Amino acid sequence: MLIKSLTMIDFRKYEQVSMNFGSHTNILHGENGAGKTTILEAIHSLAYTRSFKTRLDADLARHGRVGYQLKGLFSDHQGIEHKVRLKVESARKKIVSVDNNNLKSRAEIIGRFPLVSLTPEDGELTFGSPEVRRLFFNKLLSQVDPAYLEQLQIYARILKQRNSMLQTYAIDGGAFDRILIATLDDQRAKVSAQLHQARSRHLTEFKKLLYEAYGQLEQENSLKMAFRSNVRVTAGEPEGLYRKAYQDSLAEDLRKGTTTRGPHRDLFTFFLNTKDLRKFGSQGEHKLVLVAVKFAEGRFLESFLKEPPVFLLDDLFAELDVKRSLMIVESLRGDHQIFITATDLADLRHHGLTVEGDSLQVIDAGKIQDHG
Amino acid sequence: MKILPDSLDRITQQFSRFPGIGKKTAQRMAFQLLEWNREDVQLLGEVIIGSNDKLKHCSVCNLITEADPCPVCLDTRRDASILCVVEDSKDVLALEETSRFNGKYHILGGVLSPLEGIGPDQLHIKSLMARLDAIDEIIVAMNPSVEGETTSLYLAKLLQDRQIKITRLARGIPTGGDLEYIDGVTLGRALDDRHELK
Ligand SMILES: Nc1ncnc2c1ncn2[C@@H]1O[C@H](COP(=O)(O)OP(=O)(O)OP(=O)(O)O)[C@@H](O)[C@H]1O
Ligand SMILES: [Mg+2]
Ligand SMILES: [Zn+2]
Repeated sequence: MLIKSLTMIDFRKYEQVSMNFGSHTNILHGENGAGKTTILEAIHSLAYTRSFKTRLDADLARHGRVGYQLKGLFSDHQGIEHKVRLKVESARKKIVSVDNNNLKSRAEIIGRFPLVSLTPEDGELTFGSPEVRRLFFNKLLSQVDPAYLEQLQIYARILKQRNSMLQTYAIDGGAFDRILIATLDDQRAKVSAQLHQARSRHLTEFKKLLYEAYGQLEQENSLKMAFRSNVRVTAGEPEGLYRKAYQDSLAEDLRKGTTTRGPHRDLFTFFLNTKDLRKFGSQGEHKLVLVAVKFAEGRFLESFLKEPPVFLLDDLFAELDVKRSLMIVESLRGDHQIFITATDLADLRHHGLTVEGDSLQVIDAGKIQDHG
Repeated sequence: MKILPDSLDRITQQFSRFPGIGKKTAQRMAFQLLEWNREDVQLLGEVIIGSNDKLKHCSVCNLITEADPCPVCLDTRRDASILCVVEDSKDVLALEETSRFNGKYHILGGVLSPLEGIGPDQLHIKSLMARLDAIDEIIVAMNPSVEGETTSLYLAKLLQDRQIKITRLARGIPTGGDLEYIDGVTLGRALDDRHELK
């Protein structure tokens, strides 16, 4: 996958700019606040209909404006081009189109323009709560498995319905339809089993790629990732096990006013030399795991979608030594289009990146000039 | 300065209450109405008021009707042993178009959705339970939403101890759909709902 050109209108600080990108390494150069991250955000918004920083379109519209527009020209590995357009007219009106066909749901575009982004916010992936890792894997699996995305949406909806029953019970007490909650739990058990199966299957594959990527960056430490299902699904038929767990936890759920068991509480944990990374890892150790996860994400997407993803690397070099930065860039170069942000070109050279050559393109954010 | 008169605003506001009618469309309809002659406007008003006075829900099946019980419930040529349960009266129209169904209907008036405060008591479920005596089969024909599914499963649970066959509509590939272009989710569902060829 390649993005060849981008137009932003009223997007963050940009009033109206268009730019072309090179098909290999693109360096987005500019001082703090120049608008580098914004360019990555625009690319991400086109491919996934939303930014990696916020879900609020109002924040993305230039101060004083209610809407914004993005246009991108993507090209797949066979050279087939697709025009993607995103137009936000107001907080509630957002139109996304691919080749002039308006999309009816997000699901229609997820996985079509695969990107791997590494931004400062991604630090949460190893530092943050389990919720962050669940979201990450949900997004990853949704791209390669449309049924998974649908199952997630169904699960979320059932959960909302069920929680609203529990809350009504907690407030009003008394009146409570046991058949209805049993119905919701049957329905939930079925989709839980499907989610569990998809997670286990895909994560086995993902772990292989992750360990391989990590092994290339670091040979001294050993990384393990564990997927722990909130409902133990060992021997037996998964749907039945979920149903039983849901029946058994109903009393507790009624007391707490929320749903305590289910795949929405599954855990994904990283262990470095058998110790929980989140609790014991150093900054640099976190960053290496994060980079490995992103590499694995790229290879995972590529193996399913048969399309090399675009890498958006914001602030890649923070907390990374020169040797490893070079390894990362070198291993991506050639086969992937990459975007790297930099405040200081000398610093890039220091990290081993030559800023000359035809595979590099420096874009000065802020003024947007092409030194192609 | 306000350019448009209040009365035009008021009509626009009323039109925009319809589902699928946005403010722009409502405005266009309001302007159009100004072009009509007085008799036509009067007729429109009378038709609307007249129908609103006459229309009610059938006390048996809950279908929108002018006479109670409704013509479907009174029609003795229809098979009274088979009941098709739908969300609302519009669904009856769609099913009648197929000319494939010759049983009777029961209109629930919505789907179960605790989030919106719609529980079993808010739907016509009790009146359904009261109709079951001479019924052999119930076809549950809900829309393919999560709540439609909840409602179908709920009815199946309520009816599980009765000697009544319960079926539901198959979900699958639309006619004229090309396998190659059908999305994976729909195709997967059609596979799940496959049936024997012979
Ligand atoms: N909705 C908005 N309207 C106008 N300006 C905005 C909006 N959102 C952010 N900005 C401005 O855009 C600039 C941030 O741009 P961006 O994050 O892309 O910078 P950057 O080049 O990545 O900087 P850094 O090197 O510090 O990460 C800030 O000056 C910010 O005030
Ligand atoms: Mg930045
Ligand atoms: Zn009737």
